[in-house]
Amino acid sequence: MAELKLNKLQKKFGNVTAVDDITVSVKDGEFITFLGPSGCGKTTTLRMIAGFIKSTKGSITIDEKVISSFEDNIFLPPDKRDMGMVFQTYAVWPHMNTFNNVAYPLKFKKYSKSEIKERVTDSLSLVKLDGFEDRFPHQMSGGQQQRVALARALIMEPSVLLLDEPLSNLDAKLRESMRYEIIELQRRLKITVVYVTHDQIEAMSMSDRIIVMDKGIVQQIDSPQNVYQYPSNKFVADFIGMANFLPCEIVNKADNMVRVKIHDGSDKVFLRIPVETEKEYSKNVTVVIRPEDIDVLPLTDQEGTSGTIFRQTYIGDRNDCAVKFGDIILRVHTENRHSFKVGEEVSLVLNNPILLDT
Amino acid sequence: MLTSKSKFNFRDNASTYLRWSIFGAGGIIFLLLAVFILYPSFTLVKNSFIADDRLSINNFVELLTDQTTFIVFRNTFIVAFWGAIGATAIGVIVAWLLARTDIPFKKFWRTTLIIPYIIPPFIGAIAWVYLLGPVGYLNKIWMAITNTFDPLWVVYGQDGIIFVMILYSYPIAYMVTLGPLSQMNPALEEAGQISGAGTLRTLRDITLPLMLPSIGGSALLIFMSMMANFGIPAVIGFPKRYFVMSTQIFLTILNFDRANNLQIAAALSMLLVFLALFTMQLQRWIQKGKSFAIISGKSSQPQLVQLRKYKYLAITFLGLIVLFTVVLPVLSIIATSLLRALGLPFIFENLSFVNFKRIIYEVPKVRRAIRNSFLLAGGSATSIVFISLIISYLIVKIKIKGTMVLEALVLLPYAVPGIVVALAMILAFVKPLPIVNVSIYNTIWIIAIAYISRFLTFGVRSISAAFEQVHESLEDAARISGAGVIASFKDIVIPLIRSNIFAGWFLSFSPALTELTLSMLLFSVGNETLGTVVYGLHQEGKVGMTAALAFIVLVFVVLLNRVTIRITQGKMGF
Repeated sequence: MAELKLNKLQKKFGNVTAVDDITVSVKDGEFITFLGPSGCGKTTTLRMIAGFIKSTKGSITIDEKVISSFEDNIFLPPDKRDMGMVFQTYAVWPHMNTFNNVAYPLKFKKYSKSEIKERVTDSLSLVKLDGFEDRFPHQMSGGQQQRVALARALIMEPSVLLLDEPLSNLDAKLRESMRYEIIELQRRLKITVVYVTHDQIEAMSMSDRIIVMDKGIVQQIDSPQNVYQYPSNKFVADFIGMANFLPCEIVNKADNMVRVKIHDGSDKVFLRIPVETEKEYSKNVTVVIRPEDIDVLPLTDQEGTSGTIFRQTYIGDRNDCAVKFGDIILRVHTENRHSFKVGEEVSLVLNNPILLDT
Repeated sequence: MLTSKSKFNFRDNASTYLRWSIFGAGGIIFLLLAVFILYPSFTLVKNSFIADDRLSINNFVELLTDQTTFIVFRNTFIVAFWGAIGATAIGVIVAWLLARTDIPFKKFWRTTLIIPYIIPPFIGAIAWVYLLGPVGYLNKIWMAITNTFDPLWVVYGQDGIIFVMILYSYPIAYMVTLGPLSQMNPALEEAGQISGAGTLRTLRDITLPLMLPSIGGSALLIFMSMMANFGIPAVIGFPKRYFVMSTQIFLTILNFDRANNLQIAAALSMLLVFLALFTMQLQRWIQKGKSFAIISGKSSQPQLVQLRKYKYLAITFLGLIVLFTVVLPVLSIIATSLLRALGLPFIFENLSFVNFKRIIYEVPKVRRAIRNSFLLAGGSATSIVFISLIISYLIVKIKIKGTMVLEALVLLPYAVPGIVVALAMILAFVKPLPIVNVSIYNTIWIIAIAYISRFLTFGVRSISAAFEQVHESLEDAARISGAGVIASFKDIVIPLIRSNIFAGWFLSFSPALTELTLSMLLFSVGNETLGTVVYGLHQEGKVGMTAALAFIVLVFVVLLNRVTIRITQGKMGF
């Protein structure tokens, strides 16, 4: 049982606000990921949760117990927070062998020798490092060191497991397999995980929910599907996946549907977009269309939406095209079976438009 | 809500406790540095402006209107200038031969050519008096061969000082330039060759210009150390009444008949310090220009120049250096120490260990000096390690404000010439300490304080470097594992920096053990050190005993160096 709540958390370094007004509650057993570009405040937030940094406003609670509160002058140091953490640099102590690294957290609780041995063995088999007890870090690969770090973080059965870009130092293949291993471990141990990464594939594939951050401010908290399909603003749409931004104007709104005119220079193309009934929109909006949501077809109907192939790059699993559409250049991913000539005029079908209030 | 406010209140939680201990440690360090470094520096400056107990610039006026000052200044400059040129030339050639040519026996050369650096310069100077003094071995051999009474060359005086200085400081240039030379990106030279330049042409047009910042930097470094050197001009200059700044300051301090002698010495010191700091700034400025990106970062080996027929010339050159710096001086010391009496022919019947027996059993100050020097060096090194641990932690981990000031303060007593440090200590502690009213002047404590101040920078450098290598996340990992501040320091930080702690200890211990300059001015009867006794015996003309003790000192030095290499796994020591 561990429910983690951040309440109006803020961190200022001098005059610079690194993190501002983060409120989120992480459910027990949830895998939540802070995602954002470097300098967005995700690591600062994680380090506040761990207790390495004191917040300059707000509070943190675990299962209703306050572990940090600026307003109430409460601050539990990291060693009293009952958390596990895996660091980007692994932070496996080079002067200790695997056994001593993993057993270290037990040193501060009362355990008998045989208990310690048993728990270390269990923890190592959890991360598939059976028999590595006597190895020193310099005798192990990066991936193995990462597993030692994971075993060390898990051995106390922490209430919350913190992972700070744990896979960023591994090579691509290993990164992918470790991703699945971490998810599998988390499902099995039903542990609450707070994960920090700048890699959207990691975030999308592992998390129950993603917290997208930029410039110290939370942009969106949602499931991976919703973050991709319904980005709350331009930053999220742009940061996660690829996006075309079309400047548009709302021409009319009826119940749960709006009709917008695209400012592509000709102002002749209209789109119909489903929206929430109650929500009010300003007149000028931005419409987001993903590159894979645009169909490019041989020119058939002169009346429909059309564009000109501007550039085409073959990438193997698809063609990456740039299509000139009025004043706008659209990124389009087409299936690799279809190949067009540069300069060829084509018909365009714009699917799944997303409306953003600008 | 369940708050644990009462239990983990801000006022009594660990991190507040830690903050106070950091304040406390910082305060103690500041107090130590204030007493050991700031106060003596301030007293020195103040005294240079005091004449007849009044504030004035008379000391400087007196110095600048005195012909002697200019002669001494000129001497210092000549000696340091030619010494620096000679030592740099030799050092760079040696480095080039070892790094970039196919000269054979590289490992042998690498270990032997560095030995002069660990021999205390004043002992090298004494050895050269045995070799090229008026009745030195080489001169006697020369007289025998030529059948005259004219010596070949008497080492006393200006040329001798330059000669001995070159022999014992070329390793600085060698060490400074060896790294850049052997790590230089080979493509830079290959590009020269593909453009049509031959080996010599490439050396002249590409290698040498690229190396200029390192060469210039090491030349200034040597210039500084020669300007500050006291032992060599004392041993080789005094017999011919040839004085440089350091020896002139020494004599002024001891010239009790002269009015305001300490204050005039202080003014003279100010002039020397000014020159030293100016050179240091120049050297730093040149080293900054080092940013030619000549080091590729890859571990690619530059190609080696084939020496072919010049191989024997190169071997002869290196052989001569080893002969002059190590073989001849050490042999002369051994020979002199074993001769029953000076002047006897060197035959088996005249050899004995009587000199060794006499210094150990008949001269009580020798045993005292050995004990004192080991106590002083050990005590200073231990104190330096503890002080350095705190200072380095404050600088590297806590990143306190005023780091630059702290670093400058630690470097100061090493950057200024030793004779100046000694004078500052005298001026600061000649009167009883305020408040406690205890005088440390004429006790072993003033020497200890001087050693700690002077060699503190070795400890701080060694331990700071270690702290910088301990990544923050290693400590964080311990904290999140449940370790408190103290436990994480004890379990993680200390074990990781252990070898650097030992290195810092030995790096301060070794120079302290054979220290001469500070000790010469600060020792008193009962508080002699190895350096002062060797020098004293030499001055008294007890040649055999001097040689015996010098030999013992050399043995200590070599053993210490081996231990340092062993403990730091070759990272430090020579």
